[in-house]
Amino acid sequence: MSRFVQPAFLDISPSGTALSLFSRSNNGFPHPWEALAFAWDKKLKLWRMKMRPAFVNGIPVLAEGSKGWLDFRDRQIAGNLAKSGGAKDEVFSERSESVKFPKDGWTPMNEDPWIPLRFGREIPSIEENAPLGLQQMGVNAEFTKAFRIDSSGKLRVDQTRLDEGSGRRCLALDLFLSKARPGLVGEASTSLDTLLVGQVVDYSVSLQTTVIDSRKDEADPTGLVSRLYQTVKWEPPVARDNLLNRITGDYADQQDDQLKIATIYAVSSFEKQGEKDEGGVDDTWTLLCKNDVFWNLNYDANEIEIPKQFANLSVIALGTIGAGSGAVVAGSILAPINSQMDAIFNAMRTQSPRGRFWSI
Amino acid sequence: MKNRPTSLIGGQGLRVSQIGGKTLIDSFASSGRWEPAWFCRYDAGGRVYVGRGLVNGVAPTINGKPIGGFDDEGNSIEEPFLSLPRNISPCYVKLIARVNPDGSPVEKDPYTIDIGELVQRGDREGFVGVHALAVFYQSRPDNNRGIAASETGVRRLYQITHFDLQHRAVPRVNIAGELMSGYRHFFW
Repeated sequence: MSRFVQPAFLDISPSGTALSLFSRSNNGFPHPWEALAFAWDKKLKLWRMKMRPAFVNGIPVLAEGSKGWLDFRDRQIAGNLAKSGGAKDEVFSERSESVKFPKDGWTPMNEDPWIPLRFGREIPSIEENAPLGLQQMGVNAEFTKAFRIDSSGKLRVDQTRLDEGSGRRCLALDLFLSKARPGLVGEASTSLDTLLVGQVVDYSVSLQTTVIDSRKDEADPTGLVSRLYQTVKWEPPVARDNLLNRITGDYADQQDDQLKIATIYAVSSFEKQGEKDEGGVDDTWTLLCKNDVFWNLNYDANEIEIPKQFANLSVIALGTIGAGSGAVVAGSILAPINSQMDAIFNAMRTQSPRGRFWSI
Repeated sequence: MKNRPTSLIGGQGLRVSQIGGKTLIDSFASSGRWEPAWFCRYDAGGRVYVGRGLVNGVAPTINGKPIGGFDDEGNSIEEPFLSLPRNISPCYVKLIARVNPDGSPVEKDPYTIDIGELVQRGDREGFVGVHALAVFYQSRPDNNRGIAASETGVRRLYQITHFDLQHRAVPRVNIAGELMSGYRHFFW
């Protein structure tokens, strides 16, 4: 289930600017995660977005953005100043009566942060992954093929395709939610390099209870509050749990749970056609939000059981010396007498503190 | 941005018209707006009303009266309300579930609604589950005159839960797999 959300729609057609309006109250219930407004930040040359506040377990989600940037009154004051010859790029705060530039930081969503949007993903063609709504707006497959990001990450423009194509470009980014949690850690007393046949390896499975250090800041000293991140293209996290990692004690679980919230699309104006384009999103672009999640969430991590006998296990390594580490691993796993090792692997495979989100 | 001709186009629920060189935007009031479960409202007197909502098919109570304006036999009753404390922010409207030591809901008023901090004090045994329905953010007043938010600052209400709920209490297990006293409470 997904749809475009936009209370008022500003679009630039070849003939001029069109402002289309529709009443939000007629368009269903105003839900959390709804894109309330997009605004162009002249100072930093990027688009900012305001979202309706959302909560996880009743706690407002932290989003990276600037507090109180360009609210309605600030904009009025800035407009009046610009008329009287003041600096156009400066934003004045009514409360402090001083120049207040946008300053981004982790802010609870109930304080209405303006989230800076850093677009990076080019939608290559509508047939592949652009929604139908973008096609109706004139996002053209042939035209977008003219823009390509090469292996070094730079944007290349195919001029012949650009001249032939007619339509609009589209860039996108994903917003996702991340909740820190403890992870399982396997520890071995020896490394694989020195593993010998018949050697006794002490192996233990423990629960890492520390939270990622980068999550601890002024906004959240515990580091456990959910945060809204943005990325070029969100992929579900892949657990690094191959058997080699596990037996060498290198195994570490993912330390957060993630959920994709929304995709933001930026569509260029028609005027880009034939012009030399630097590939950036500017104030003539139109922004759209496609939600994947519409409601507030509850979250709980799995409570896992690590039986006491797993705390300090001795495992006998089986295999051949010098036949490569893979043979050592395979030998020790396949050996039926190493039932303790099997028990460890089973526990680590089936048990994870991985949690779940559910809407309420 | 360059100067371009700008046109206004009306949309769903809005009509744009021009009379005497002035632009009028008419908004049509919505007739069928959906009101979610647990929809909280408050008035200037600091009374908080909680809309109809069900937990396991039962309407929770405030001071012994079921919310929603009807009693068990379907008779209309006075709608119960909560009093908003002015010195707590964030102040949660919370659903509280109480279970017996064997995990079954208590006989009298298993589900109640309260207002205050999200953390439930004095529940060492874990027989009480708390779920946030809505939250008030308000600036702390520095005097005891009047309750009006405009005098003292901003008061904002956010609806957290939008749907009827189910509740279960699950026995708590420690990391070694041993049963501990108390329960984990799940609302969904």
